[in-house]
Amino acid sequence: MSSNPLDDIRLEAQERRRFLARVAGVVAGSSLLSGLPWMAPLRAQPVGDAPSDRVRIGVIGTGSRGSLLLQYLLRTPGVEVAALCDDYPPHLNDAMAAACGKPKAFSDYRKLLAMPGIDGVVIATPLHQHAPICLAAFAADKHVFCEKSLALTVDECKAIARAASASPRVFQVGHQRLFSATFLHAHELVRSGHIGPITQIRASWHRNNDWRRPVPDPRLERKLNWRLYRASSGGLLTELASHHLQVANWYLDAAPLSCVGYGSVNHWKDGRDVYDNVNVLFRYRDGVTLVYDSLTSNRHHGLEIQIMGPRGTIEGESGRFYTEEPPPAPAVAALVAQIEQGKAETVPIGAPSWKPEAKSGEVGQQLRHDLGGDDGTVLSMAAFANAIRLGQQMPHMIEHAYRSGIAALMGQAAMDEGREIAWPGSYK
Amino acid sequence: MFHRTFASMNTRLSMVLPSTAGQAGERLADEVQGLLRDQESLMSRFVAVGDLAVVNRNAARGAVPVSDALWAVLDACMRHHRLTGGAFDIAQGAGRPGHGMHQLDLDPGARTVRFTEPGLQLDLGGIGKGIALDLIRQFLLDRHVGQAFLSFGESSVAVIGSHPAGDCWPVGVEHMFAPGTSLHRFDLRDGAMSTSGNRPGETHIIDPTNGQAVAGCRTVSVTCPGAADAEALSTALFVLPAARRADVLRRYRDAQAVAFDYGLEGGAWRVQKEWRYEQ
Repeated sequence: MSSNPLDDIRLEAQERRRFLARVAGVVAGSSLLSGLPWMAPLRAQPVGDAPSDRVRIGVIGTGSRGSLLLQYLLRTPGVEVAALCDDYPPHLNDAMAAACGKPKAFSDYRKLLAMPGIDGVVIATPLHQHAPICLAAFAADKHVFCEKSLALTVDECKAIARAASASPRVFQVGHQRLFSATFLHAHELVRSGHIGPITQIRASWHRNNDWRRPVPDPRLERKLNWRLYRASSGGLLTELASHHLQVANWYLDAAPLSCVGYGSVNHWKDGRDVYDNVNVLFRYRDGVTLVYDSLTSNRHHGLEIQIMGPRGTIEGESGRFYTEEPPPAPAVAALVAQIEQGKAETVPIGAPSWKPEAKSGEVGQQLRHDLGGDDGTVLSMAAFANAIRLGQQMPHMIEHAYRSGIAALMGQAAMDEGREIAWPGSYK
Repeated sequence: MFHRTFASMNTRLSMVLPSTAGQAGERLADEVQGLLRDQESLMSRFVAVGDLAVVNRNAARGAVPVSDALWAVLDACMRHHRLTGGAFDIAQGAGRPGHGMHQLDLDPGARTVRFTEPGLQLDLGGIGKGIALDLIRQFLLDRHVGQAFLSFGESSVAVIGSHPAGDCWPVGVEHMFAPGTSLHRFDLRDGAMSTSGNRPGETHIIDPTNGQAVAGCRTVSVTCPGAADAEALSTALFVLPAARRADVLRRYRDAQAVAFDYGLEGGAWRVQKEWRYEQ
């Protein structure tokens, strides 16, 4: 790597261009688009450097997720990051430095939206700001990429979904698993009946840390640690669970009918008002359940979503598929090989009965993860830029965003109110 | 050639059909899988709505009517219980001294089962695999399958015809600690073989005379024409004193048996052919 960050970005952008060209070839020549229409923009080959190819993006919110998305955008062919916005100067300054000072800097998103020549915005602010900024962006006729979860309240989720439906512009939500090779492959296995009908999904995100950001001045506590306070966050449900809720809704092709749950602050008693452990059961049609929990006081179980059916189990995060059908005994495999070779040798067999391991001892089959090690974020940014350039909306996106956003809020309400919370209906 | 392995009865069933083509094999395998599901719900203690589980739950409180299929299974178990002098006993599930099939009250006229003692539990874990194998073998014969090798959890094997490259199916008793090594060969022709035994530190076969699990690391393998017969025999021989084994074996046509004893010597497992019987 050279010492000039611009050179590094250019080098990586070249690699990304080659990668996206490969993906375009794969997507264009495959049949997967019928079930995954949001992949369609990736059929387009990466563009050149002509000004007419360029899509001009403004990034609103340059904290941890926003600055990461900025890194991706800077390396996406045909994207010009034209503006950055944050009302916290240190974040804005860091983001400006990362973009080599080229974008225009704003502290007020309304001024960014009023800037001429901005095609679309990427919104990565605290959750309570999603709705006002999304609605203002649609009102300003911009294309919108909004990070998950969709919004802080059911009414806000409905308002964004309605505005997105009514707008001719592209809307995309930050659910990168929709573009992850592993989750696309897992979806294909589910759809083709490899695990049979889904009978249960279990998902968990367990970590062992206080989820805090260092605060240089106590007055900044609620601004920088916005995740820990109800006024700005839905806690573990919106910030973590919404990813797995989106996968569950996608694979079951449904929204949850209702949920029940318990949550509390049982470990990090530091003044936060979001729970530090959440445990929610979501009920889907046909008696299928999603068992979800998230913990911040133990990391043993880590991050995983398991999709189960009578024929097998898929573990999405580790990208493995376990069949319920056991492997043949070594003796049987040897016999089969013998018969194929036309030999009749003694088959040593016969011992106390073979028993399967309680937890599948088989290492399982590795799912595809061949999209350059990308967790889907590279492709979601490229898809957003292409969709804007092509002027094509992404089907199903509003539904994915709405269902997971609402499901997260249902889980929160179930824990708060100690009762079963029903699906609040469509936004339409 | 066609082969498939399914999960069933908490273990696996492998079927190898050398002279059957893929598509025909797939169809047979699907039907066999259906058969197995029925057999499992008939004979498993763990399928709550299954026939045996219903008997286990209710028969201590009064006579329970049973299906013809379960009646046939219990009837066969009674026959083996008599032929083995009580050494084969499916009422050892609770592992209590004094418990046994003599406390089963079977009424052939009414087709009912009653336990004369509370706490009695029937367990078809061993013989169930053999019964299912006999059934699958008949099913395949009825569909004109001329060659088949069936292995249920590797402890129960049943064959049709002979190996395509030989005049029988040469099946070995595998060394427990040297996989792939054969300790003794049986030549199976339309027959079955069953192995009962203990792995080290594992005891699961109960001696009906005292209600105690049989300890020691050993195995008994039996061949005879029927898979259920072979299962009943291998279990019975495992608990019987050596002196009584031959008497029992004589009551079963064409039965052969062999027993192996394993022991640790200087940190390594040595194995010894403790006994064998041929008619």
